[in-house]
Amino acid sequence: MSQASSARVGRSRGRRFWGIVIYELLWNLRKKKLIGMVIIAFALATLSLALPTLLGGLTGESSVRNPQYVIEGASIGGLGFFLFGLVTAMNSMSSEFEGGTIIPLLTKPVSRTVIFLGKLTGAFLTLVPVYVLLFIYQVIGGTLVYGPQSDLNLVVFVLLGSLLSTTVWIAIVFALGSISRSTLLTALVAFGVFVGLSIVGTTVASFSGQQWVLTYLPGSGATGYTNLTATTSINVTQQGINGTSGATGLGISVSSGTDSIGATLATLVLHPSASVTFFRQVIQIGASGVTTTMVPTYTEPLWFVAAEAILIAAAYVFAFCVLSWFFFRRAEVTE
Amino acid sequence: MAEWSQGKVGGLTVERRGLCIEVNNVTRSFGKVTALKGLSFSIPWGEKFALLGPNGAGKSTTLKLLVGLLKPDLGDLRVGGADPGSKEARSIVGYLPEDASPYRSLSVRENLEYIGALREVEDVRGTADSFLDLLELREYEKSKVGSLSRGNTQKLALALSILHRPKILLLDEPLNYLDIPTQEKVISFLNSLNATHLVSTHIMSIAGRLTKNVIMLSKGAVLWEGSIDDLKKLGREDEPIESIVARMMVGAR
Repeated sequence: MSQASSARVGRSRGRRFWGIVIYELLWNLRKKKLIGMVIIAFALATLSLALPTLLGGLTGESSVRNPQYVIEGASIGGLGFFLFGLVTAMNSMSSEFEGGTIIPLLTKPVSRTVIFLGKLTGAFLTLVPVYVLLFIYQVIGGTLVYGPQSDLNLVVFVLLGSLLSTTVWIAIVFALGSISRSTLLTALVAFGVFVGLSIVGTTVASFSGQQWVLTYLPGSGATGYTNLTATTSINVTQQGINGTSGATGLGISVSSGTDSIGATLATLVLHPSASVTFFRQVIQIGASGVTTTMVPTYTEPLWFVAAEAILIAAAYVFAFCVLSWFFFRRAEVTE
Repeated sequence: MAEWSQGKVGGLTVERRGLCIEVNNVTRSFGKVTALKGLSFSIPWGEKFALLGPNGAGKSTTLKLLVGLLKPDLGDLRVGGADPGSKEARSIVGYLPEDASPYRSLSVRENLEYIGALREVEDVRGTADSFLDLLELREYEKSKVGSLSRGNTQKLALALSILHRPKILLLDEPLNYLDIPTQEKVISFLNSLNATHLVSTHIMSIAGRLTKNVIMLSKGAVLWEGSIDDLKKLGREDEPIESIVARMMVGAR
């Protein structure tokens, strides 16, 4: 193939790819599910901003000034990442098969790989403006309610981390959609995976002392604490924690999972030399009541925790995208 | 494959029309149901064929195999000399499935422009305009497809399948839901394309307006193949062609 011909093919592929991306964006932004999810996210952000002030007004306390509100509290959270990933991607593949619109798509001179990549890019790009607006809203709201905010440059890390966290769920939901070709089944299985990992997985891993397993699963991961005192970050409730060796002077809470990349990166920028100690919980029922003891299990440098989370997230995105692509390429239209 | 090739007949060089659609001994099953059993037929470039047959005869399966939506269990198919799933074949084929579904969340114009972009149609906006006028969809151009009547949805689906002026038309019940004036416009437009036609239909009058030849399927194999004129000759004098077709299909059961 001549150079000019190769360039023409490349341009042609590019135009078709962007055609699919634009359609996917239009489709996503018109989805009632996504619009509903955005409204809920903004409502929760508003509640998080206003509730302490409203409660302070009721109890007669003066308004709280918190320069760390945004960097500590501006987060979409594990459930939010999952739900945004789900509503963006749950019918991206399956409803094309269910509604028959896959036929006009697959009968055009566009390779299935280009269609797949276009859809994936469209789903990802849908989230970018939503997340950016949500963070801008929290920055402005936090400044208005809690006064001038510090470390606002770290919001960029939290935003990028949040996008990567959500992309893991998008990839999982995409794969489920490509395999099942049923929106309902995709949603149900995705919910099952999320609930299984976040509730059952966390409980079992925490009490069995095998918390490290959570690091390698999608979700919030294992929770540990830095060796620093929490002067600028989340206050750890120490009630009920007995002073066992190594568990005193708990620092900043750090999670190792794919849902915590943004917060972990922000903490890393602030405390690059910190290390994180992970614990297992031991519950003892005695005459004095129930006591929970946190026993240290292992310690890792914070940079390693952050890098590991990013690599694991990237590996999940890659693996589920390949799986999804494999099934999409082989899919036949029988209906 | 070239549309025309040269060959020698009795020492004279003659031009022969090549084959546009080739179906060779194709078998396809869905679970325990065999939809096609060793189906074979071919259609030269520029010829117009109707695919007739009772429900479950394998008409839609044949069309889906020809556009690469399905793969055969046995046998092979060629469309324009290429594999049906190949980019080469897809770029020259216009396919309209039965009860086609354009994108419901997009407007009529957005559908036309999106598919036009995927087809790399030159002057996508102008092409969309001409189809909006041809099929009298102008007043609905900004309406979401989900709000259209079945007839207007069918008009749009038809436009989406032919807006790149394909060389090969594979149409499954193309005139379903269309009013008579629109049917006339569509027939006239389709005939003006000078494309190879393979039209699956139950309605003989439509087959007669869009095609000149018939491939009759029964139980996944060719029952009869020939021109519509030859088909008429199989009946009694003044016997309607529908009656002849019905008799042949019943006889094949």
